[in-house]
Formats: sequence, C-alpha cells, structure tokens
Amino acid sequence: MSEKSLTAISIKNLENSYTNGNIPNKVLKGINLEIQPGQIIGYIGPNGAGKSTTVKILCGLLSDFDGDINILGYDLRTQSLEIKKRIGYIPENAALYDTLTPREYLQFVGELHAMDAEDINLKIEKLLDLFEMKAHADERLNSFSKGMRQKILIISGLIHNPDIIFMDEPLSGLDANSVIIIKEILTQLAREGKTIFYSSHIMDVVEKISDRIILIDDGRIIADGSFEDLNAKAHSGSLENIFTELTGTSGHSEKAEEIINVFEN
Amino acid sequence: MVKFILICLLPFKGIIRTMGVDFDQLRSILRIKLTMDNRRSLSLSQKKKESGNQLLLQAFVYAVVGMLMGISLSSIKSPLVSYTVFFAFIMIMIAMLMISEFTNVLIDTRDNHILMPRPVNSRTIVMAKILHIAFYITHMSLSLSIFYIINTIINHGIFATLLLLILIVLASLFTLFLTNIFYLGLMNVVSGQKLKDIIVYFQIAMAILFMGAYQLLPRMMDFINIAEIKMNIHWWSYLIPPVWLSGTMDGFINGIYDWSHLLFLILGILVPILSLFFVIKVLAPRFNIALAQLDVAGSKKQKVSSNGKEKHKIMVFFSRLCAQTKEEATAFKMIWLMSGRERKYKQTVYPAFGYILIFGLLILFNSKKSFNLETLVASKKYLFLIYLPLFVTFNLTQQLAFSDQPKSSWFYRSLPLSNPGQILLGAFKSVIVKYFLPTIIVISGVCLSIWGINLLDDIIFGSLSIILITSLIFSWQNPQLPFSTERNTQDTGGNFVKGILLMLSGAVLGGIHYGLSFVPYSVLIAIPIAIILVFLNFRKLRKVAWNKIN
Repeated sequence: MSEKSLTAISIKNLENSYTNGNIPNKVLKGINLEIQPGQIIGYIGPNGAGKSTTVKILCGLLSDFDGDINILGYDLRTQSLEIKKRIGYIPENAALYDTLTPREYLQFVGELHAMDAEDINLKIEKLLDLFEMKAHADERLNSFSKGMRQKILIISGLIHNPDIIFMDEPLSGLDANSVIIIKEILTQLAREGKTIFYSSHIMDVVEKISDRIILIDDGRIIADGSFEDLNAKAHSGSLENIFTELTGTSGHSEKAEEIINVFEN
Repeated sequence: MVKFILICLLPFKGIIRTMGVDFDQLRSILRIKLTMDNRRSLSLSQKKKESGNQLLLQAFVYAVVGMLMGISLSSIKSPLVSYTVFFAFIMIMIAMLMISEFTNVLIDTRDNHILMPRPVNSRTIVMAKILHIAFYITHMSLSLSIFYIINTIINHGIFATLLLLILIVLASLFTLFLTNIFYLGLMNVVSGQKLKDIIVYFQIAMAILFMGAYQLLPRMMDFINIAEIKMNIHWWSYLIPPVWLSGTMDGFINGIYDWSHLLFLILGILVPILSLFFVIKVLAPRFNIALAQLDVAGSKKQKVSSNGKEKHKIMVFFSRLCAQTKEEATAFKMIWLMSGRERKYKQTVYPAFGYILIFGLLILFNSKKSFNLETLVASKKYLFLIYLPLFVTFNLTQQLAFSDQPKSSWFYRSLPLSNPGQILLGAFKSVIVKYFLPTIIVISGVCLSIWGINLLDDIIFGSLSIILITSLIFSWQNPQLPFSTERNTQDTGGNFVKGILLMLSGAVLGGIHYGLSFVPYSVLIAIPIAIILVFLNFRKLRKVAWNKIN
C-alpha cells in the first residue's frame, strides 16, 4: 500500500502512432507524467492533440504504444488486469449495448468486476435513483437521450468503486443540475484519496475543479501545474485565455471577421 | 432459452477454467450476448420489433425453409443425390445467413469499448466469442435440418441419423472456414462502412433466395422427374465438398465400403477438422486485427470512383428533363443519390427486382406442358409482364419515407419552402426514373422479342398506367417527406392494406388493358388520356402543403 500511494499514475516517454495507409502518423510524441493520488487532473488540449488517445492507452483500450506506464504500482503491459480492476473509465457518448436496459447493462458491468450479486443490485437501485433514472431502469437504452446515456456511462464507470477514474469529456449532454452534482462528486472522491484524470474542452469546469492542469498540444506537454501556476506564467486571467495563448492560436477576431465576410458576399 | 443454454455450459466449467478462462465472466458475457440476439429481429423482416423471443422465431423460420427443401427432396430415391443437395443447401444457407444475419454480431466494434476497459482477460473474450459463434451455427444448422433429420430417422434408422448429425457439424465447420476467408478478404479490401454496404447486397440476395425457393422449388419438382435422378462419381466429384459428406452417408446407408466411399469419408472428416485448425491458428488472429482496425477505418483512404462524374451527368440530365422547379430538381438529385446509399432502403426495395425476375420466369414457363413459343405468342401473357413492375414502384414509393436516421430530416422544416409537394414530386420522379425506367426497358426488351414490335403501344400505355396508379396512391395516403420517419414497430395492418391495394390496382389495370386489347386502336387513344391524367396528378402532388404532411 505504501509504495502504491506514492504515485497513482506514472508515464515515461509515452509515444503512440497509427498508420494511415502507409504514412505513420505520430499522435503522442513523448509524454512524461507523475500523478499523485487524491488529485484531480485536468487534461486539456486542442482537437487532435492526443487527449483521448492518452486516456485510451491508460485504460488499456489501445495496447500499441511505446514507453512505460505504471498505474497504482502495476505495469500496464504485463499487469493490465490488475489495473483494470481498480480503474473506472467514463468516455463521451460511447457505445452501449443498445438493446439492453440500464439495469441489465449495469448488472453485466458489475458481474465483469466480480461484484457480489446483492451488492450489484443494491448499488444499481440506489445509483439509478440518485441520478433520477429510476423511472427508466427497465427501458431499452436505444430510446435514451444523449444525457441519459451519459448518466448510465457515468454510473457504469463508478459502480465498482475504482481508485482511479478516467474521464473523457464526461459532462457531455448533461443538464446544469447534473453537471453540478458530478463536479461535487469528483471533488469529494478526490478528498477520499481517489485520483481523477479528467479530459475536457470545457475550460470553466476544468479551471474550477482541477488541482493540476496539464495542457498538451501536438502530442507534447506544453504546460503543467495548478491554475495559479499557469496564470502566473501567462497572466491571462482565465484558463480559456491561457489555452489560446499557449496553443499559439491568436487573431481569433480577424478570423471571425473573415468568416463573416464569406457569408455576406 | 438463454437460461437453458447457459445451464448446458455448466458441465464444462472445469475444463473451461483450466484454459485460463474466468467462468463467471464468460457466463455474464454470453448471457448478455444471447439476450441481445434474442431481441434482434431478422434483417429479412422489415419491421423493427421490440420482441424478446427472436431466437425461437428465427429457428421456426429456418425450420420452415428447411422443410420446403426437405419435402422437395424426399421423392429422390438415390441417397447420394438427395444428401448432396441437402448438404449443399445447408452449407449455402449457413454461409448466407452468417453473412446476412450474423455480421453485426461478429463485427461488433462496441465490444472494444465495453469489454476492453474491464478486468476481463483476452482468453475469456476469445472463448466467449467462440462459444457465441458455435451456438449461433448450431442454432442455424439444427433448425434448418430438423425436418431432414426426422426424415432420416424414419427412413434410415437411428445410426444413420447420428452419422448425419456429425456430418452436419462438419459441414457447418467447413462453412465457417469459408465465410471466415470471405470476411478476411473483404476486410482487407474495403473499409467498415463499405463492408456493411456489401453485406446489404447479401441480405438482398438472401431475401430473393427465400422467395425463389418458396415459389420455384415446388414447381420445378413437377417440371422435372427428379425421383429417378442418379449421380455418377467422376474425378471432379472429389472436389465438391457436399459430395464428400453425402458420399459418406450413401456408403453407410447402402453398406458400400469401397475405395471411393472411403475417400469421401476421409475427405469429409479430415478437411473440416483441418480447416477448423486453420481458422483458430491462422485466420482468427488476423480477423481480430482486421476487426480492431475497422474502428479507425474511417481514416482509410476512400477511393474516388473515376466514373462518379459520369453518373452525375446522367442524374443532372434527368433532373433537368423531369423536374420543373428548382426545388423539385434538388429533391430529384438528392433522392437519386440517397436511394442508392441508404442501406435500409436498398434492403427493402431491391429484393422486389428479384421477385420480378422470379415471377417473370413463372409467368413465361408456368405450364404443365413443355415450353412452347407459339402458344406463348398467341397468349396475352405480356399483360402480366408489363404490370409486374408494380411490385417495384409500390416498394419504391412506400419505403421512401423510412430511414434509420429519421432525425436527420430536420432540415426540411428549417428550409424556407412554400409547399413540400415539390420535394415529394421530385422524389417520386427520381425513383421512377432511376429504378422503374430501366426495369420496364428490360421487360419491354423481353416482350418485344417474343411478341414483336406491335406491342410497343401496350408497353407505353402500361408504363403510364403504372406511373399513374403509383402516383395516385402516393398522393392519396398521408404523404411523408423522404427518409423522414422511423419504420413503425407494429404496422402489420398497414402492410396488409398495401398488399391488397397492390393486388387490386394490378388487377384493375390489367383488366382495363385486357379489355382495351379487344378494341382496335383503343390503346393508342388511351395513351394521351393517361398522359393527361399523370400530368394532372403531378400538378396536384406538387401543391401539397405543409398541413398535409404529418
């Protein structure tokens, strides 16, 4: 336990590329990270920077990568099963088995985590109730709206009480009330010592909940630290401005003007 | 049914565990997969049903098809011939069903997202997949052959039946091997979306095959005296897989144990088993790699077809020729393109072309006497042929409203469009020109070559009547914009009414035409009248306002 509590996630020289036809396309170009338990990590970057790829590698969805990854003291390559028992993954709008009901799906997930049958049922009841989904517990998932599906994904990522939670744009499609609840849940889980790895485009949320913000661009880390640290470097006031400044895209208003010109002429 | 299958697994718990598979997880995965199968209706049925007993229903459908086959075979005296046809039937059916029904199950990229982040080891996943496929194949082959199994018990006793069961398993394994190769080849060439497109064509072929078997087989049995058919064994007989299995059956039933039957036995047992090893050792790993790449297949380069521009030229030409307003022309072009790409549309409409072929053959050759061109020419059977495309035009227009993604039709209502009738009319003309025109040209080619050039006016009048009646029905119903609604879950009543309408309009049109054919020059006079009526109805259709659309 003592060695595990040192670092939750350790990433060394992570590289990843996929081949598009015959041209190798490098997505991650050497990511190095040490993450302590009990932190909320905000993982941000422009579209195509490699955020989702990182999360997918950490969750074991992509096994084809270079570098060393150690999660909770286990090596991702050789002991991925032990890791997967202790992590939860909440993707954005991900696939679900559509013809199942939430109850059946969550039960299935619980069984895969070797949870006790009674325990599963109890938790499903309570969680569906708390997420205001109880009325839909026995309807098929293909009739669900985006936000309802996202709630099911969130429950399925948390039901086995994981130590690390990976989230890839988890608030997509949720209403304002649910967003507030999720934010509060994350803060309290972090206080209990759980690690949360949170990737998102919504800068306000990242700014408010993250203990530490990691900004990547073009497969590399270009900023790392608390919001105060980043703000001290960039003097920009909000994470949105810092983001724009560091990812090197300026002249937004000129671009907007050009776009409007196209419409009007 | 799912529970029963899972219980069947229990005795093997020990063996499965020693293979490094987590038995509880395996059972969970299988239960979920089978539950989902049980809710997934056959792609052949057009309606989406919220049913929980699809597996039994499918078994019943397969059994009926197998029975039709079995009945037509039961009069054959030579076991070699009947079992050869039987095994060929089983193997073709399994291959086709694997492709048309099982593809979505086999190529389920959701598994990557749902199972991979969970603590499930790869052996458990592979085992679950193997058992799932094994169940599916057993389900298909047993329901298809149940009639023939019973037939074998009655005619040849219990031991022959046991042998038959073993041989059915072997045939299934060999078919699995063939389909596997087919899939691998296909996945190497095309991307995931394209693969789904190709599979739609298999589903269409399947629908036609079912229909053809149902309509043609019993008649063919009358036609040829098949009871006495015999088969001689040539050197190339050893190259036909169904013959290996039927040869083995034949040897057992007739008690012949000579060299050729022994060779069949060896081939029949050895090749499927070798192919199974080949599937497990060589094909399955490659298959999984190809499957994982399907997810990112969107990044595969799309081949831009060189004749794309040419095709569009035809489309633009016809849109200028047929459409009168700009909106109509736009709808014409949009429907022209979409009707060729919307999978569900193709899947429900394209089989109608096959039906035309089947019924066309039935009309031409449906006489107990042998085929005779002179009696055919003397008859007025061309009327049936001319009105056959009603099948197609009805399907084309009735299915036009349906889509798998009805939500994407939001843009119709956001457009500043004065009356949506223009879109309806454009869509109607589009499918008529794209699908009906070629069909009637082919049919008139057949008719003209049999009955001669003086049939031309009949064909023109017939086509106009078909267009008229289809457009009348299209505008009489509550019209719906193309590709804008989901298929109703329970619409059997509606389908029945549509079927009756189809029959009725066919009979009325044919009757009128038949009557006219006795009055000289009447068809020539009727043509301009039909043109005016079509024109008037088009004008009415164009004026359909928003409040008529639901």
